[in-house]
Amino acid sequence: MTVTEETQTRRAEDTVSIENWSPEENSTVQPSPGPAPIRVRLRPPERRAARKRFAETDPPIDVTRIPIVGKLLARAMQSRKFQFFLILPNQVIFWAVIVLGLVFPSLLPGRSFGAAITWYVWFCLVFVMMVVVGRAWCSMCPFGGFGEWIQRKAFFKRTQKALGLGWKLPEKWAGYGLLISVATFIVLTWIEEFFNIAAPGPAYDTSFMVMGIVGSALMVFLLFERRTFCRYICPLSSLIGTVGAMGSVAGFRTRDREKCISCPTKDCMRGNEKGFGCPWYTWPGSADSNLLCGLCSECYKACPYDNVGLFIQKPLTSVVAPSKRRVDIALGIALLIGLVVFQQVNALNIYATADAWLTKYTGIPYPNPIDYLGLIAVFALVVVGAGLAIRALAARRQRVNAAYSGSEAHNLNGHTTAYGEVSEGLLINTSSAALAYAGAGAGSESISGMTGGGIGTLVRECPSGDSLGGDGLADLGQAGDRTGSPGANTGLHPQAAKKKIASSWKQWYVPFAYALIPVTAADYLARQLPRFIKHTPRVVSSVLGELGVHTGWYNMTIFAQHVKSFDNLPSYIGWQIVGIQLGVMAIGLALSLWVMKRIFKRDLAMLTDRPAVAKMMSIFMVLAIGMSMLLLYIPMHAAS
Amino acid sequence: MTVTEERQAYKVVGGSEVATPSIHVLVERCAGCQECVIRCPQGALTMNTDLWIAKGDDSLCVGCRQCERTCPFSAIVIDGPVLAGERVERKELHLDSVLGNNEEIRKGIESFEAARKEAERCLDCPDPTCMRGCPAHNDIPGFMRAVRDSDLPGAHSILRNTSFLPDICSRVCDQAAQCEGSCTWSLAGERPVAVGLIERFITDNEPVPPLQRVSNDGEGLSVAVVGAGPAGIAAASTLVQAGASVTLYEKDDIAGGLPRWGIPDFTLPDEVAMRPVETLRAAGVEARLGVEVKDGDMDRLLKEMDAVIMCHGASIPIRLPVPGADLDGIVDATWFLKRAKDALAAREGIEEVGLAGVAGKSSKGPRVLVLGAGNTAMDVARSAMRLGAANATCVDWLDRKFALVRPDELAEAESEGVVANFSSTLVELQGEGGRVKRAVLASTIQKDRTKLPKVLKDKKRTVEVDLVVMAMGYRLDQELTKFLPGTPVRKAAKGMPDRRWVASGILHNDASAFCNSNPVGTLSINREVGLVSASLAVRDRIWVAGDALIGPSTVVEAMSQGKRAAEAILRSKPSRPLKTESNKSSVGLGDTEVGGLEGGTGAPVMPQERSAKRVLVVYDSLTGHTEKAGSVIAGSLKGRGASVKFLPISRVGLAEIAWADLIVLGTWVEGFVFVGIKPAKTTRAWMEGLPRLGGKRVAVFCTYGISPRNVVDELAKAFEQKGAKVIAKAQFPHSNLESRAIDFAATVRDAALTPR
Repeated sequence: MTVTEETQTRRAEDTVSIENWSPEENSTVQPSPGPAPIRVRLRPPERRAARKRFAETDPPIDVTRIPIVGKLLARAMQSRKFQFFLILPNQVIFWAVIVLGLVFPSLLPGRSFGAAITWYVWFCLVFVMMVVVGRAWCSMCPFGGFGEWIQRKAFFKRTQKALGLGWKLPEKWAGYGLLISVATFIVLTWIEEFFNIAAPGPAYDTSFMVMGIVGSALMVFLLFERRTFCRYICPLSSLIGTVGAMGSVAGFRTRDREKCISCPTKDCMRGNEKGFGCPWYTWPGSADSNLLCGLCSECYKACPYDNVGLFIQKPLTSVVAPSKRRVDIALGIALLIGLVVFQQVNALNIYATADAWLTKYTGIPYPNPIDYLGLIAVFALVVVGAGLAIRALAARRQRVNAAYSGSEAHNLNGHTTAYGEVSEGLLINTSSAALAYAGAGAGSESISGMTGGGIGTLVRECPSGDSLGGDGLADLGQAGDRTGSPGANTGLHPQAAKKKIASSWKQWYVPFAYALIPVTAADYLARQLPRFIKHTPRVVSSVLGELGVHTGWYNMTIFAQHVKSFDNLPSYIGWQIVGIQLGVMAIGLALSLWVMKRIFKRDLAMLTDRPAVAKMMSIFMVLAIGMSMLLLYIPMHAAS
Repeated sequence: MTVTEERQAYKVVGGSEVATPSIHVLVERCAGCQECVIRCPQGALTMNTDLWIAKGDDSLCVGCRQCERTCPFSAIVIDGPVLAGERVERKELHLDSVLGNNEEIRKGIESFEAARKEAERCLDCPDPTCMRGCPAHNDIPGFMRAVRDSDLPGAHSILRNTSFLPDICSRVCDQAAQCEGSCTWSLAGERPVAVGLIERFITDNEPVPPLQRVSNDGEGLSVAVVGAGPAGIAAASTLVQAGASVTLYEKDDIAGGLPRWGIPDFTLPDEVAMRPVETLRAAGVEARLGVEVKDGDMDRLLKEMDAVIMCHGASIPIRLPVPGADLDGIVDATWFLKRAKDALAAREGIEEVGLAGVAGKSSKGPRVLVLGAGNTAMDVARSAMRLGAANATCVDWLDRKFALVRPDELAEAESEGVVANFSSTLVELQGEGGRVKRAVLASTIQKDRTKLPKVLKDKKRTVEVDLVVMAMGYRLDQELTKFLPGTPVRKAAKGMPDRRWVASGILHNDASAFCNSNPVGTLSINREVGLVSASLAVRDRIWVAGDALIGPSTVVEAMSQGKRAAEAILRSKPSRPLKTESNKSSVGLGDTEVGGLEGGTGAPVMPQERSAKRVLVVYDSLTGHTEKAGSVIAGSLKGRGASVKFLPISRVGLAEIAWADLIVLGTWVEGFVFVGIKPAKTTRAWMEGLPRLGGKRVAVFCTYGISPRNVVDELAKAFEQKGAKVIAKAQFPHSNLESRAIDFAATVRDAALTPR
């Protein structure tokens, strides 16, 4: 019997009539015969693997089920105006930034409302929000919000036809995932340095920059469907997504996955009268991290079976636990570290010397893109190198039969994979690779006990993944052969030569990079702190000033005293700020070390013969990278 | 060789491997929702459970793109060819001369071998779009499978499950706009499986089965079916199969409707067209021919019968009001077709059709101008050619691209010498001596399928004609329509399409060019409106089906609607007010009295209101009070042999309303303290959108904080205007919700759920 015949028989047995399906058999509702008796014989979806796979990442607490507060939030989110009212205040502020920057271009940089709110307050607040909540900013973002209003031709109403061309991001670009966003972030930072906008420069520069962001966002919203801009292109998306993984808001997830899998309509993805299809291309039924949940609550509104909830999780769950890790995030972290370390180095005197030398030889003034990109690349390579160094020292070389490894190395989708690696494009499942190794370790036992359970498990976790579709018996032999090696040889491949294959760089580097998320987050926050602490009180005076209010009385207040004191900046206050920065960094580093320990146990321990060495190595690398970032704050001396 | 292996063999064409399709999953965007996995006809998609994304096996893929159409996030792309294989075409019949030839022109598939081969092209899709495209929802993959297994009787019984006229439908349906247009191959841009030909092959080679009793649901019901066209015939068959006694009323002398008189023998032989009528006659259905039911007769009919289904069709031909339209020699299609059919059957010429006077002086025979180029117009023109017309020209103001004619019908007509002038229209008829002599035509331009053409008055030309036949379609009989509120129903689906239809992929593409690029998804979803409307009574105990309900339409739609109406009657089991002996003597319709009535004692029998089997509790809740009251009511109505649906108002559409025997509606009360007290806005909007609810039982309640005023009465009145029967109404203050709701539920239960 061929495979397809088999599936066809299976199909005949598992007939599901989708028109008659009702997920509400529990309470007062019984299945109805339905108006269109269309016999639908869907293939049975994969359910078995789901429970185990998502067990670790399924968050425990559904906020909407919490009495009073949760109920109020649930009611608010059911309203289509919910997100509109989140966006509205930010929309007002940022249009004010644009307009006031153009109306009062001559104001002193530090006294203009636009510059002050953008560069002193906003970035820091968004950052704190990210660390706690995740993509909370995305749900209230005025840039995406504005584009979406235009795209939907409505502020909050559910409209049927979108404005614009509705393209999908081509496969070629989508294949880079969040790396596009990292690239736009690096470019935006360079522009900001180039025009000296954030120092802050003249107020109208900030206006132009904000207008540029709104304009390009709008353009992408009109060209592409849904929130393609936010997911792929937005400069902040990668940073918010990465850092937000620390947050304890897990996002909108399914309450009962079984229901989601057998849902006949998938309204949360396709949209219905109540809500748009997920703008972020995320399905509550399979989300295992808060990385790409924009907290827009559309799926919550759309679900006809009230099966979507807003969940909270233990902090750092989305860093430690997701079994689906992303290579783009891992590479993005290296680049983000590169960028922030560049900015730190930028504040040192030694950089000024080096930059002057470079300017002299290339003729390009500050910020010279050569040293800008060059240094980012160097720092990023150091991070990647650290990950690879652990692998070089600790990875186990596995001897396998060449005959099998050939098919192993060239899996179904034509991608060359290393031994035990489960990856596809940007995605990698590091924990399951480790499981495959665990199987390899216990190989001889599985071979001898070729009984249902053991073999079943092995086959299911066979990394090449084609064992389900292949010829059952031969595959069992292969799986057994593989797991039995090097000790057991079933004799299926008598002339098979032994070949050494190591776990891939991705298997080591990706989990390692995830462990660096907390310290990266701490670094971005610490770098913003001097500005925030020094200049936040100016916001009040700049607003009043631009409104034409006489600020004489304000100068008498404690805020004004505070501002004045920073204008002079006595050195002891500088050191106080450095102290806070070091504290933040220390917390970040400590979290990173703890995460590294957890991730090591979960994803890496199985890949090595010398777990103690590998563990020491990985913790040392995190410590080394973190400490260098931390110590840089001392010579920086609270420079903004 | 198994089916699969054979299908795989398509990948080797002429001994050399052809390029095979390849599957690209955008892993970054794939959410692992498995919509493609459960719908892939080939099983080429499975789950990578480690990464929870779909993965494809290129070696199994045939390039049908079902996955692309169903993926909610457009995260899958297929490259490469569509391996649809070679379609079996019917054998062309080459006529030496059409003159006098009344032979059926379209041949079926010749051999079982060919039929099986074609059936093997069917992918047996897990979510078959062809079934959604077919108005009767025939189990097309089911009978294809039976044909593949050489089980013709099995295939035939699958067909007969959903269709009473498969032999007629397979000949006259426009498959390109229905099943074949929505075939997966067609949606992928290729030639669809020849569903029509296979259906015809099955019915041509299997005897028509006698009607068999399938249930006793209709025991004791007497139903009048007005009109013996496809809708009436199908309704009667369904009712008879459930044991109801049916009386058919037909104003013509022969039953059968348009398929009998309106479609020439060379397309649909009389023998085939009359088969269903004979089947009904054999099953003991009483047909009263030559009896026209007028609106004045309705009351009497309702008194004698438990229910009436109006299937009187749309029989008034549309005439074009141009100058000179009252000249001699201008006839309508009905008139012409009826006579032409008889003449051809008797092998007479056009002179004997009663058109002798129009023949003109030309020795070659009369020149015929047909207005319209739809299927009826083609029938007229082709009949005229067979009767010896010198030429037959069809003019239609639509663009050829958007023509309403079946593509194969048009091709056949043109091969027989009929001239089809699209993008032109008649502006004036000129006569000599009271007879039509010349027709002035103008060009038109149409840029979009949905827009009407524009007439270019300055581009005129004149043609010589002897006979003008107006074949632009039909319209409803206004007199009867007035009596049937809510008809004709506009066949246009409102709002967002059902996500199950979206998921099937039928709405994603238009059909292939081979299928006229018909927008099959929209067409089929609009047809659903007609089908559901047919199961809703327009007045108490009166259902409408077929053209009478939705205006001029197709045989298959009429048939399906007739069946839906009949099923609705069997479900709700209406009953006439009094069944007494004396009724028998007062029969006035037809030549014999209505038979089969019980109650021979002469004593009045109490009206029987059947207990409601399906209860729909609808709530519109703001603060949750109404929802709570609704759930209490739904909970206490549950059981007692009734199934209960409890749904928010936003999720209740036509389908749910059609399903229910009893609707319980609850709403919150809008307004400020005592000012502007009304039912909630959403409820009012919903009420406005309601169809006719002839005789459907309804209970209404509202929940209020301070004052409900007369909200409940307002709702009740609105329901009554829609033809519903309000059996209970109540209003609950928030403070005393639960016990009041339980009392209300008891009232409703006593009124509608307790069997008597």
